[in-house]
Amino acid sequence: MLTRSELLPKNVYLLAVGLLVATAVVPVVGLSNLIIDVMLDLFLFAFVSLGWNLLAGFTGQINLGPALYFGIGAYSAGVLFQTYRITPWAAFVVGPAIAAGLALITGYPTFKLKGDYYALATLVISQIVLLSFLAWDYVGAAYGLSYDIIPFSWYWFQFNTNHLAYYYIGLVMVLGALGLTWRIRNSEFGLRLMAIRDDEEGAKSIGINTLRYKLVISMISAGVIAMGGILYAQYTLYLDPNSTMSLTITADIALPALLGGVGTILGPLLGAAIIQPLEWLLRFTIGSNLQLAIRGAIFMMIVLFIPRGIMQTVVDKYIRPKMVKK
Amino acid sequence: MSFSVEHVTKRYGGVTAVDDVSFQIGKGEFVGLIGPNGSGKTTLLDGLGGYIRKDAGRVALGGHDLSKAPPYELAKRGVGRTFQVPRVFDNMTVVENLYCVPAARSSEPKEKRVEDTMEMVRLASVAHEIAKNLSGGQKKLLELARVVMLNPTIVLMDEPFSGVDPAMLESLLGLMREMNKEGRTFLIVEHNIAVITKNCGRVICLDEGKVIADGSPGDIRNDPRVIEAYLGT
Repeated sequence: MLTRSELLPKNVYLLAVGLLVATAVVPVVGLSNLIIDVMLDLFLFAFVSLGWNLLAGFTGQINLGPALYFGIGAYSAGVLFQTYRITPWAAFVVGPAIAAGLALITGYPTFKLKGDYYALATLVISQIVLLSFLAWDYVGAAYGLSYDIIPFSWYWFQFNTNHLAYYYIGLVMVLGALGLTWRIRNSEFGLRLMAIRDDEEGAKSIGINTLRYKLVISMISAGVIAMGGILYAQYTLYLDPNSTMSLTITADIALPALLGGVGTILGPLLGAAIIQPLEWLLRFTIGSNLQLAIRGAIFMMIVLFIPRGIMQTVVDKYIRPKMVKK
Repeated sequence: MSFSVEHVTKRYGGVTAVDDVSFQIGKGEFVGLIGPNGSGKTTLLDGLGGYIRKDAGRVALGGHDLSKAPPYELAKRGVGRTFQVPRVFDNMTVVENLYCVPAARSSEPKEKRVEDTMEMVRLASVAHEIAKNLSGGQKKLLELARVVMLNPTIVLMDEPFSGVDPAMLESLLGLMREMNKEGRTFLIVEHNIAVITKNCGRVICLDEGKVIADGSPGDIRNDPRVIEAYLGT
């Protein structure tokens, strides 16, 4: 019987999930706070990159303003806690809802633009929102929002005396995002998104309302990225527009997927597993300033040598030919 | 279910690419659309398929007005379309190319439809191959297979036989005839006049955006306007 093809043998996915589950056990043995923080960054940026990948990878719509949704998630948690004294857990409803709403409103006109013009439009929109936040007193303007520190509280979503709680929340979020990506990739909805990516006119010719599909997946993508922003806010306990909505954050969100493999299930996780430890290593060896240059170099190497990312390159060169022979 | 085209017109600036074109195609007809380069064949097909906005005219299928319907709506209503350069989904496998077709017009299970269609178009041996690795002819077969999945009432085809070797041409034609026997209507833009006259029951000839002849292949071959504009001596 014919079945839907899969990019990788199932064992590879099981191995990846097994490794992630193993990371849940490792801290019990004892890990330094530094390793926990590195792993948390890995989980956080794998998570948001998985979110970005849903739109960019599966639908081919390169959004250059994902930091906008990241910032909205972060600010929704910050404002709820700092201004209204409402538990930041509520931001998991408010943040993604606002982000998805914004994705819908901005997506409707911008998805009618083709290729690079869409990417440019998203970049412009994110910069407009960034500038608005810099001048908006309600959210602390350029000074940002500083949290009142609580040592350890599940209700207030602050775990300053023990970062392990953030670690586990991050891990659960990554597993959730992987599950969502898996579900979409292996659904007819996901196949139609990929059809739009490969040939939008062709997709229309078989009855796919491409605008509707793009809007739906962009709302899901925005919601996921906003959730990442919430974890970031609760972990750093300080927010300002430049640290949550800048182009640097956009690069942090997009690079793992680009390196690991855009449009693949495990690519963003693999990319984050390479980039985040490397960034921490560089931070301690050559300092923060050169980090940006290194990030740029990674980006250039991806474009030059593995434009489809590690995972897709491996699949195309080694795995797919074997699957076809079978 | 007849397909009617009434007074369709499309202008680009000062050029009238399609000029007041009208015809009607009955259920199960196999119609060829011919004409010299620049005569407006592809523009007409794009207009009928909802890819370009018509300046005037009406298109209807079974009496339902589809003049302003976008391509995805037309596909759902039973108007299938293939392109001169096949628009397959390059980075998806053959089987995925079929799975992604919405099953709005069929109650059969998707798996069975995909399986049957793969058998029908004889692409089962490359089911898990990435579409971009297929030959040009196989891509045309795959595109037609997607149309089969749509369960269309009428199929609009733009130069289905261009760049196709004789064996593949026979495969494509065989598939089209099979679909035609099931009662599906075909409107085919094609330059291969031998294939058109041999296989189509009716031929429409366009020149400078206008219908200059409409009749049986024999009539068209002997029509002086067609000979002058397209066939030559």
